[in-house]
Amino acid sequence: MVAIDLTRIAEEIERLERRWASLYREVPSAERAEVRWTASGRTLRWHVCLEDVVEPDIDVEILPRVLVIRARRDTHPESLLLALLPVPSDFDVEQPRLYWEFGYLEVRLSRRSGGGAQQ
Amino acid sequence: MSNYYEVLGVSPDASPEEIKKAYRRKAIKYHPDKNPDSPDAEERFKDLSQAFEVLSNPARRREYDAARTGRREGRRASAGPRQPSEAKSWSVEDFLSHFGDIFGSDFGESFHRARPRGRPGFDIETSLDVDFRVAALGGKVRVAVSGEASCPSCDGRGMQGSAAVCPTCGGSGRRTQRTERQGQFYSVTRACPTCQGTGIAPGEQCPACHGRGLTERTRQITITIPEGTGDGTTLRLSGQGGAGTGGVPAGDLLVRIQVRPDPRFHRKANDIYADVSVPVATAALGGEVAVETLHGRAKLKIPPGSSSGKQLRLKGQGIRGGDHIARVLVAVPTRLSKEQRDLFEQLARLTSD
Repeated sequence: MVAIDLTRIAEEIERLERRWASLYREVPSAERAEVRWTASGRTLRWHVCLEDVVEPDIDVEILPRVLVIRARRDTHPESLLLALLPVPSDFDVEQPRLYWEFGYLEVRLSRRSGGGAQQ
Repeated sequence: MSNYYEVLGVSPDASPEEIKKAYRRKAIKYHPDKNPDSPDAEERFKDLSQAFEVLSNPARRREYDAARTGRREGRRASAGPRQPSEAKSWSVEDFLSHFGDIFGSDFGESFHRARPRGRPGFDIETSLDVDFRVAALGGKVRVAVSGEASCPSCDGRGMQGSAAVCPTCGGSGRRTQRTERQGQFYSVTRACPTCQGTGIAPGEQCPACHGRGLTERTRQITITIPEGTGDGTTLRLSGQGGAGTGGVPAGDLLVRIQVRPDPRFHRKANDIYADVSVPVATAALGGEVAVETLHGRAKLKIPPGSSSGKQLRLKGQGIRGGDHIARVLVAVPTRLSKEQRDLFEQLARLTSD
């Protein structure tokens, strides 16, 4: 059983979010999508609520230590939903696995081998 | 001839954007590659393509509307739409590339503003010894920080000479791939593999930084110590850490504060504790003594009969509105003159009676 240092991950996510916050201002009209994360074992999961995105063509941009998710709502095509998903250094940002279900996008990220968030 | 507006599921007065949007949704749903065993889907897809080809072209839409209206009014349509030529044989990739062009504002590249690529700088941790008074009242301290900084020779590019646009990505620094998963479409954008996201064609390495775009440098920075900073506090200075590459933000500087103890003062939360020496006569009779506080000298009233250990409070003379608490230490003279000795003996006789 691998223990995860959730506090450390939370701190790093918070810090990366501050560092990349300027991306939110790139499209001033963009609406921030609700995001939550969970971590267990070797996986960090981001849950992105893309409400009203019925048939998504979701844009995932991979930047150093952050994923940028963009999608348009079917009900309001002019409205862009935007989410920043910070990725702590011991998780692999380059290989996100994407799952879509009922208006939620789940992004799974695996810990790099030898990653150091374990206690 | 079917009603193209009904095929797309839009009203006859739908805007071009609404038509595009409706086509996009339905075309993804009925694309033959997504429905390989459904002839019905293939037919629907052809109908959709045909409807969109007509309704997306303003001239042909006018022509179609005229014909449709005429038919409704009982006249024979004089001009029907032309048959689409190629829509049937698109693969998903072809379709998506076409799709992307049609709906440029909705997809992939158009989402992205040109932005430099690279990696964020590392965080730098350092410790700093700070005087008790500066930590308590706040102040500015200059400190030397060593870490990665943008290479001045190549301006952080890591390469010599003028910047040529990367031939792979055309300078965008990105490569977008469309993928399909569980029937949904994703555009995944990564850094261009040729230029690593810089948008600049790889060239000859900068000899100063060996292509890293970064050099090790020591710089002096001024740190503002907030009032009431405690020992062991870590200050985070955003963007003052190691430089990032390719214009990506620098890391943070983490400064761990070590407060030098002051022999005169002791801190408990926002209150300052200090000993004050009070002459024996003042302690007995009351009076006033001068005390040193963090904010300078102040006068402390000694009530009559104060013993050693008594604590007297100076309001607001501590940290952030806290108090200065003076602990009385009655100072007994170690060497007495004859007159003083006589007086003390007299006092002793009086107190023993």
